[in-house]
Amino acid sequence: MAYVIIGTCVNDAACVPVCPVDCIYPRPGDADFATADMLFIDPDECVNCNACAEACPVGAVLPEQNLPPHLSRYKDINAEFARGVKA
Amino acid sequence: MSLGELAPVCVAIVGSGPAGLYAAAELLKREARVHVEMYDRLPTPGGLVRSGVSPDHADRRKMTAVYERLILGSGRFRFHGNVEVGTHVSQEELRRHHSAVIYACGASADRRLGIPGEDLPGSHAATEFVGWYNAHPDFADRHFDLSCERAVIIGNGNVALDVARMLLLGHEYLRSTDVADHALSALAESAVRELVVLGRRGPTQASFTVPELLELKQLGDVQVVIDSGDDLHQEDVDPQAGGGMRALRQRILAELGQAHDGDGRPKRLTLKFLTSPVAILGQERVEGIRVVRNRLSVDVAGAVRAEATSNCEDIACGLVLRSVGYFGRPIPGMPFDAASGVMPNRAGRVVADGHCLNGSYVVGWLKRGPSGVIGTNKVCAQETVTALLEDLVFGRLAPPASDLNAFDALLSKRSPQRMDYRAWNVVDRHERAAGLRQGRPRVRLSRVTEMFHITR
Amino acid sequence: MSKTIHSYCHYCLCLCGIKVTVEDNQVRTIEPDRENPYTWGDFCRKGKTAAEVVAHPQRLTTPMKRVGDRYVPASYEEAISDIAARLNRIIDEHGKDAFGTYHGNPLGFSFSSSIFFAGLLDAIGSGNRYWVGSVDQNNTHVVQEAMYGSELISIPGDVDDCKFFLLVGMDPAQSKFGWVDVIPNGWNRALEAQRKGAEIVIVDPRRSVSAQRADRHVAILPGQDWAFLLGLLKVIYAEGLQARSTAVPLAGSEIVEALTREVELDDLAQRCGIDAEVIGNVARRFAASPAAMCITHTGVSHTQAGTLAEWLGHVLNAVTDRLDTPGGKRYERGYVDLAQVFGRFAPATKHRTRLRDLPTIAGFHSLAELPDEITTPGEGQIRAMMIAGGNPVVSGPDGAALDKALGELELLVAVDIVQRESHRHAHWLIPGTHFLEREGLHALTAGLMDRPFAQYAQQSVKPPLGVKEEWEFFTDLALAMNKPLFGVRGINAVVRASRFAARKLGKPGWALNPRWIERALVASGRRLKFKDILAHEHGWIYGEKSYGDLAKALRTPDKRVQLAPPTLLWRCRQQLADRRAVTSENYPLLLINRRSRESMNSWLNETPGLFEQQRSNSVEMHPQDAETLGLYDGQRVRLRSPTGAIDLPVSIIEGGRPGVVTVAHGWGSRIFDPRQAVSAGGLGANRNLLVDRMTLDPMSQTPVLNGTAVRIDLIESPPDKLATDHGQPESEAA
Repeated sequence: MAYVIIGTCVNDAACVPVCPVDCIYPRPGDADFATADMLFIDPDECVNCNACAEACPVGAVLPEQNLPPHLSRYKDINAEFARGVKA
Repeated sequence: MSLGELAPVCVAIVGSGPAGLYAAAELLKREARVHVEMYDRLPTPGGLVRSGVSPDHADRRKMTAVYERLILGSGRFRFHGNVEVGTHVSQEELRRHHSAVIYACGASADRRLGIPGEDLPGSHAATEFVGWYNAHPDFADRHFDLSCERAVIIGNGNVALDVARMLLLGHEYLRSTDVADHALSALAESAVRELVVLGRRGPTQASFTVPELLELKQLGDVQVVIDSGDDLHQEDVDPQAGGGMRALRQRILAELGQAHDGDGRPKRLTLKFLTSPVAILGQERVEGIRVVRNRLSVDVAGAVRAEATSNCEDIACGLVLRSVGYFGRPIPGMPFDAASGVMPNRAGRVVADGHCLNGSYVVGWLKRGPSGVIGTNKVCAQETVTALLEDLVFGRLAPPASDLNAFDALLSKRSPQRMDYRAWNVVDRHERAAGLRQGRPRVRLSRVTEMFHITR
Repeated sequence: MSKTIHSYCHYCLCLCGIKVTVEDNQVRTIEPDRENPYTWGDFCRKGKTAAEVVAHPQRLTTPMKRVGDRYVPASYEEAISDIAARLNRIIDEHGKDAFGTYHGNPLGFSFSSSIFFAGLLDAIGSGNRYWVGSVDQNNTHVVQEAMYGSELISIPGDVDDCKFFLLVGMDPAQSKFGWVDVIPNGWNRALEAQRKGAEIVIVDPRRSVSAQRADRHVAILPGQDWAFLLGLLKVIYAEGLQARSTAVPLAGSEIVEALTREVELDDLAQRCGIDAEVIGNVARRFAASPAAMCITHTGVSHTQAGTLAEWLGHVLNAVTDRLDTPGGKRYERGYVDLAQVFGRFAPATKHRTRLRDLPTIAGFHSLAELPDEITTPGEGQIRAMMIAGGNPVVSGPDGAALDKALGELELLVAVDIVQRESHRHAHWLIPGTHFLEREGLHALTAGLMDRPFAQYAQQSVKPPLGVKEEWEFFTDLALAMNKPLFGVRGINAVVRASRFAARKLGKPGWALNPRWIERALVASGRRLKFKDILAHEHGWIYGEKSYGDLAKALRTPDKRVQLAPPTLLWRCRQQLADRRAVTSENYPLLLINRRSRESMNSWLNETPGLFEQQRSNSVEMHPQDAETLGLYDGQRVRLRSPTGAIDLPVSIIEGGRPGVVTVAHGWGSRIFDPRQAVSAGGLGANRNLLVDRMTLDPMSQTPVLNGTAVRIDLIESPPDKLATDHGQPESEAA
């Protein structure tokens, strides 16, 4: 179980500095931040603390179990992209 | 001696969109002496968050509320709506009454195609259409002929998809959004059933982002067709095709192209790549558009370029919307780079004739060009604010020659009807209350006179 | 040369296991220790940024003596010599009680600091000991004593198997479920239980994040949880929904039942603002659930009927067989019998405060009494104080009064990492240490865990050069004052001898140090071996959860859980007869408190890595109240009570109870740079300035931090007035 960022994300990145395990990518300052379509949470690192969801100004972060069916694809997208950045 | 005992530093921010809001938030957070006076020629703050973000993405509008709350909470911020710098006050007057000015005016002009027939009735800039359906006062009186069955949108960015969705989502859905009432009734009568979105280059070079592509799968009564128009392998052509974000976009596009569950639906959206418009056809009004097929090549710098082939085609349509990019407008009295549409600057310090203009700064699209999404402006604003604060610390900001009371008096004479934040809050609550009664997030007022009437 | 240390965060009782990478005595990163079998939990930003506190720019790195309006560095010798001399003179002239002390949570989280601080206090023998418990969990000590026979018997919730969570006055999304108990990752575990079908009911006037995830949010009137809980009991008794207690014998159930027959459900419903139907519904569902727990935290303890409500919550659990049963509340005996140890070595003191004549609770007096005990002349007046790891001006009620009082002391010694709001009148500043700089076994938490778990914390970095750990300072001071450490005759000679031997033989461990006590405690428990605890560097789950130890641990005369202690019955009747309104026309709103995950009371809020965006607390209010008052989100207002006023921005939050506003505690505390006599920050405002120090829960002596009558005034800022300060008026406490 982890948190998932959905397409409402506007790259505000208020979530990035509140994450206690730095698991949100890409980070402002990273090379690919400027061209990122949205931000992603690494499900392997996420500790489900809810800080990102509370910080997000547009409500773009949900706990995985609260993802509505039509947004379920974002779970894989977050995992794939965040892991890809680490790799 | 604490910081509070030093003289306050007044910074004017021209423009209340995300760039301006981020700059205000950053300034107020980092420097306790700073007071921010924010000016916008519209009575409503928010910039493109209010007038650009599409009604079916209304969640994104919440962003301004969060930042407005933050900056208001400092007690060192004031909003002055319905004040046009350049009209009500000059740049010089602005600079005389503030220690520094940050220009956050955005890029509101549209790029033209430069093809014959561009000005025929029925051919419009997407920026107009977007402003119209988003209740922007400048476009409230526009008229769009939606009596045709097919419309063509030129451009491969998210704005093109926004426009496409607004034309295809249908009245039943739109009436639960905050789309402008005049657009809602016009769209209810719309005959448009088919949209073709033209892209000069291929799917790999398109600027559509992942969320916008994914939601194309959710259009229940629309068949989505991908016409990639080319049998060249994209990876061979584009050196960046394989990487991360782009690969994901390609995959979603490919899925959209391969899906057949949309066959037989009443509406259709075609993404037609490698196609450039050559001329807009018609006598009195738009009747069609002539397009040419492109092929891709990579130039010496590694950029992927489109070259026209001889393969032409005419597409019958009654509405053409060009969405090939926003462009900055020159600010009277300030330097401007006409080629790129930005205010020349170095890390946010405005540059004129090669040297930095004391006390003048720029953020957002006017600084960088119209790229990125809402949040991209935050890093941009942080850079500009860093420059400003550095100049403050090193004594490069001249104290204002005259104080804000004098400026207030000046504004009262020049723009007697100003919208302060309290008045905007009255309008905001009115819009939301109206929305609540109709099961919508809000019902937006599109006329300035209406807004002032309510604040009385 | 980089190394990795495994330890755990000591900021709050989640005790999250951490992995610290250190290079050249500097912390590089702090991450959760995912190899910790138990407490690495869900981690939070406080632990992650701990190194920023270690490197605090205003950090005290040497004792500092006040000279005029600033401080000069001094040696420990000079500090101890001066403090000892002055204290001894004051005590000789005015008696032991002329020396008062206060300590806060940060001291409590260090075993060595707590024990040796107690050693110093016992050496001096003053009865004027004050602590943070009186603005935190005193009610639990009172109830634990009355029902189970010891102030220190804690019964943590058994979360994983629970099917019905009745959570009153708590916000586990912020607190992670623990309060005076350790339930690592508790909220996520409760949510997991919810996913498998458990029901979560949150009783809270405000719509917290926890309430948003709950199955039901009961938006109760502040301060009236007791009425709600009594109502639940009434329904349960009336409908015969009790269950026989299988794990512990009970006494007095019929007396409580008789009490519930004296009251009308409708009356209770009206008092707490919750429909009788809802009360009945919750009661039936709670009683019918195969496994349930009722938990009450500070939302309850900070009210005038907080002890009452705490008691009733325990009774509710007891009469529905939730005590020491799976999925209910489980007693963990740990590896040391604290109740017994404390009973023998730290017997309850009979000291009473001279002005209000109140007894101690868990050995300490109430912070609310402190200002008057300092300023009121007469025998027993406090003339000297030591504040160790605490910030009472911000943590306690009516900080303005306390600040003024502290300014009148002949001697004020502050032991802390930085000089805070409460220390601004200090004559001596003594540097404190950070948990990353200490090692040790915190035996006092053994029985607070929801599992048998022990972990020895390793030191990650050394304290700044020359800084002694607090325990050593306390010991040195006792020796210098010639007062017997721990009040044990002859012990000072032993300490001196051990130090001499250690020096002579080059074996530092031979000098008296906290390890001796940690080892002794572990040995006394006869369950674990100290070396085995040390061997498990990621922490050790040393046994299986077992049910049934509570019955053996009870220290009541008849070895039964006392459900109807006379003092609580009497207090309940007193409360039932009290129909006074708290709000008035002049002060129509009720102010309550809240916790923030990234805050730890008053001592972290200015850390750069926390609160990136919102660097202030705010007045959270219901949209209806905002509408009535004509306020917009972010507008700065003045919040006023009969006791004080603060200026803050408004934050409009959907949901919860209209008429209730929430302001988080812990803000408005300045940090001073003693070298330059300047203050930094003072982010936000101290909401406790609005709380009066006279109104207390008479049983827990806790002020009413939750449920202050307030009003909101607009701050007029006409267009031609520009504030030249931070936008806040100088509070009187400053």
